[in-house]
Amino acid sequence: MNGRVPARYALALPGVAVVTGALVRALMLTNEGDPALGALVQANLAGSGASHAVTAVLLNFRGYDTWLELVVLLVAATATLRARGDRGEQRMREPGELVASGLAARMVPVVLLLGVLLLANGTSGPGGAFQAGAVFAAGALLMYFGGYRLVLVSGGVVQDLLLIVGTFGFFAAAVATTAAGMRTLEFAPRFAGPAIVGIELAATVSIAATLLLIVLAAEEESRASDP
Amino acid sequence: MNGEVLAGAFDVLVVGALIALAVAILFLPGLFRSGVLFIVFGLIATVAWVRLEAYDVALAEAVIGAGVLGLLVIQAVRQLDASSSGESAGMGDVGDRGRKP
Repeated sequence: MNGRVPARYALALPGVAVVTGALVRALMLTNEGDPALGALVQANLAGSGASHAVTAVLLNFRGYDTWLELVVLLVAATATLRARGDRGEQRMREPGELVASGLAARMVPVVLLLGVLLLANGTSGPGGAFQAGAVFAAGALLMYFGGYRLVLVSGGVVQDLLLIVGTFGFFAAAVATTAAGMRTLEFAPRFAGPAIVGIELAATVSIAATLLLIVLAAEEESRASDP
Repeated sequence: MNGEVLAGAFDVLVVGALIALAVAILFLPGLFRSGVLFIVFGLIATVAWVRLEAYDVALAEAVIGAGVLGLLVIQAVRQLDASSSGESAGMGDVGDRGRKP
């Protein structure tokens, strides 16, 4: 397999042109976005628990959609665990590669701080659970490639718990709001702030664990097939 | 020079780079090269998101689109390279250096 595209793929070009044209035309037909929606978000921002409009929408107004995103991640993690099979604990790399381990030792603390910063900033500015979770996963991967052992997060019951906690966070919020007589996932302004912070924390953990699992499983596969 | 003209020119550059990278990823030989270009594509897409003032998405694109996805693509290339029976494959571009685990 040398990466050259077969000539018969050119047959798809007319279809590609048509679809591209249709997408461009659709883009031209849309306006700048419904200003009424933006005004609605801004009007309700005060009691939403976040001062950043994106966070308020993601975790409060459209929290149900974000919950389903976390479920999708959970499905991906489950599928990866299935595909990986019963190989026991994740095999770590051999320590001792100077550049990789040196880089990891110096960068990981900064990366972890960056993740915390992104998460903390998420309620009042750009950032949030997905970004912070991915950064934490990247930090863990730096450690892995540097030959450091990843304890706890790379297998077993703890990993399963980490994968679930994000989805569970939303579930707990849904149960709590329904039990309190509100509509499901309708946060009272008093509790919205802490609820969002709690859900973001749980989601960050799950996102980091899921991304880490997927990359480590793929790494296992590619190392198994190394000559 | 007018700021808006500069911004417009920059946007044209970014979009042009995205299209050029996409074509290069799809049509240049060498899977490893495509994988690396994919990571570059993710980084340019991050800039595009910033220009659209979608800063949250830009952050996510940088870490997930360029970082994690790029890593997965390189891992896939390694598996494909190892499973192909001796035929000169994508990793040939970097010789033996690319084989170090």
